[in-house]
Amino acid sequence: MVPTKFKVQTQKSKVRINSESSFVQLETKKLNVYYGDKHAVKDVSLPFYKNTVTAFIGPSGCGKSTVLRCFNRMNDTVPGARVTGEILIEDVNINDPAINAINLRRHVGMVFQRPNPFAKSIFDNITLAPRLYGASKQDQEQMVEESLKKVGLWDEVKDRLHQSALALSGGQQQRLCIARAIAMKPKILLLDEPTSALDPISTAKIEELVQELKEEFTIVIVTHNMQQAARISDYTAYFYMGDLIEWSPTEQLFTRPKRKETEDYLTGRFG
Amino acid sequence: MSRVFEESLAKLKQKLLLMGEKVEVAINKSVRSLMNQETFLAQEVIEKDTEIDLLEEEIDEYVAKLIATQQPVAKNMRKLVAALKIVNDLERMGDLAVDIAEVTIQMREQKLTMFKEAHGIPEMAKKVQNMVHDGINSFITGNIQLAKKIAKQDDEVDQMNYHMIKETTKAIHNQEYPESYFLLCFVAHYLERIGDHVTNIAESVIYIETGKYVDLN
Repeated sequence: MVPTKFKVQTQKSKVRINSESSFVQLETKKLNVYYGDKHAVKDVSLPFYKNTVTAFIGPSGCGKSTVLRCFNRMNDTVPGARVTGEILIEDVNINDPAINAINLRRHVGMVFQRPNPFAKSIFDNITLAPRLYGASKQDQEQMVEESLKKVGLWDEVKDRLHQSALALSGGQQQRLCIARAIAMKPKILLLDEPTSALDPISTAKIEELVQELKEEFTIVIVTHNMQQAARISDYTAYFYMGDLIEWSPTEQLFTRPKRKETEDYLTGRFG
Repeated sequence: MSRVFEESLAKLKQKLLLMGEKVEVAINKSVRSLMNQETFLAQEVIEKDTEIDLLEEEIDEYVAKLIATQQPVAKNMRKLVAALKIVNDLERMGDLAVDIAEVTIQMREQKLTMFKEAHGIPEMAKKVQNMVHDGINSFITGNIQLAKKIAKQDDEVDQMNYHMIKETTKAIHNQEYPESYFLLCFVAHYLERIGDHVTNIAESVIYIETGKYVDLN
């Protein structure tokens, strides 16, 4: 039985993931989330390095999605939810009530489990938010081409930009949602189980894409698939019942985890 | 194959190539140290063996990381399994080069003389070095024909070893310092063992390419 209270155990990487990896883009300090009486996330302190991918793994209900949803203040909309502690983006505490959540979401993009394009054209899906911020027609066109190219969708859809996004396949829709999320050039990209509704080929494409996008963004991904975490992330955090059990460079966590609880989860002895 | 895995395999090949080069140099220098009776060269081989050992450790860890994080299957998996075996063979070859270097040091310390029968050693060493080179190349390029050629070369090295033992046994009765002859036999044996390790590499290459285990020894 895994005890309910753990001390966070972290280890520093021996190798630098890339030249920017020492810059902390996002950080949580003693983050706690309560849904009414339920203490869903307990004292989580974590760094997220710029231009790296951090994966959250753990069994259902462990708090991994809850932590992710703190980063763009989506928990604000959940009745009875309360978030304490600090969430720092470049030293600004975004958990401060004075921070405008709408404005925050310009800097923190998010993609969900199921592709959720708007029932509009491919072009409009990407330009809807930029238009609200007053992007010119020329800027919009440039933005569409740029972001579709980044997600590898441009060649597939360039001749039907004004057709409905709902006509695209599931994998293409998900890539469109990523294109939409990065069109505003956020600093951080949150992916909440982005491939769980996709077939293996579309999944592989998204995984490749994540590797490319980290050159430009700091990525946090929640995944049920621990092999996926192993394949695409630089750091992995393992959660259990709201506690952060271990955070390590991915290659270390998957070859020699520090904690027995992590080892048990990874080897399927538990969870 | 994902881009990340493809790049990782290329890196793995580079690391194996580097290790193979170091082993080739170690064999070459150890035999030169013996033939020219140069202790400093022998000492260098012994000291540099640590670099080969460290590379073995590094490649082992790298492969473990790739297996854990990339979940390779089929040929990709065979490549990694074979790489683990190949580094082990290379490390043993490095140790055998050290054994030859230690013979040089022992001969100098005991003031043992060289003898004309030793002239077969450089020829044997040259053949073995070629084998090492071909072994690594066959792994890098996945060339089965080259791997199979190694088995033939190994037979020749075995013959040379056998010949060396026969000649030495004949000569040993007439000599004042039989230790030199024993040591010479050891060196021939070490070179023959290196040949066997290269043959193992060739077997690994065939395993990668065909999925079948063959016995080339």
